[in-house]
Amino acid sequence: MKPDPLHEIWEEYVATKDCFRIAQEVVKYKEEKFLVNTNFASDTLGQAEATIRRNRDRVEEFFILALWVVFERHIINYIQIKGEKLKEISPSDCADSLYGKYRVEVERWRFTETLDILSKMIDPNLIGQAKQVKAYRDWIAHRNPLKPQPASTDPKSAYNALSKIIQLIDNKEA
Amino acid sequence: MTKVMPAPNDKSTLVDEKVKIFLKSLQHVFSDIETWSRSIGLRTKKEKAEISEEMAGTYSAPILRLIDKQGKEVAVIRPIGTFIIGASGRFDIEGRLDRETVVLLGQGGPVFETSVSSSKGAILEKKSAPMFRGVDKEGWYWIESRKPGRARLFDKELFGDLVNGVSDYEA
Repeated sequence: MKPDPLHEIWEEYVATKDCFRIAQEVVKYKEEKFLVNTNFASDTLGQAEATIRRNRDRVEEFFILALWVVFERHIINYIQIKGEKLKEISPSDCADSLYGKYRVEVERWRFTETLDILSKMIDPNLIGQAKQVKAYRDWIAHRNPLKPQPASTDPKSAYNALSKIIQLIDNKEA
Repeated sequence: MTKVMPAPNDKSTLVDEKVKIFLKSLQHVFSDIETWSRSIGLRTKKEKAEISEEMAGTYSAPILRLIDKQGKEVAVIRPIGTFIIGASGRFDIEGRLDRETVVLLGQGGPVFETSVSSSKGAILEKKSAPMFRGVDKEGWYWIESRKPGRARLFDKELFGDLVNGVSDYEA
């Protein structure tokens, strides 16, 4: 079984959450030796707690972005590898440049259309969830105040949906 | 073949229905949380919050503040929305230390189909698999953090554990 490329990000997320917990305890109990040389040193408890909370929320969003980036790359790589058959066509002096063009163009496809290519081998509901994660990721990344929030997610749910798709693709290859 | 287009208000009726189910479920679970809170020495204060979603627009939902005997806020139970990826609703339990997410799932939870195909593309076998283990009935579930594929029914014991986990509060 291939290793899940999203698992490392998931573990980093869990560890980061723990770091925020530890930081909240440090400011609550005024563990001064840990606060020296940090921006929390001159904060009130309320200010420090609010700063940690605000950053914890932002970090959740960053992890959704990170999960998406790795997922997108994994799918693009998969589609590119599937196209390697193009290198076998004849005449061979055309095959390499055709594959070269394909490889470059795959990077430029609209990613939702790339996902549609997989919808015969992966449950369309899961593909739909991945598209929703993408819409949420776009909303986080662009922060357009005029655009209302699309269907929401959190790192745990995003990880579940995206890693399931990767797992199903990898199982088909096994 | 003629395609039958849904009537223009079908979508909005479906959206309204989903919001209604979410709010009703929220009402039930908040009533449980109020009872469970009293049993661990917390009182609750209900307020109204506004939820804005692309699909449903803006609507109001209750928010619960859990307060200890000293009058200090221990945690907030905050509804997040109806249109949640892979679920039919979500609320968060937010405390000083952390935040936990609880989602509304139908019986069995979300499922996905897997198929085994022949080299010529013919489908030889189709199977349905659940996204999460442990979703035996419709209700509110917490997805485990250390094992993200496992869901636990949100009950009194789990509520106590999650409040403790996000706030360090002990009854």
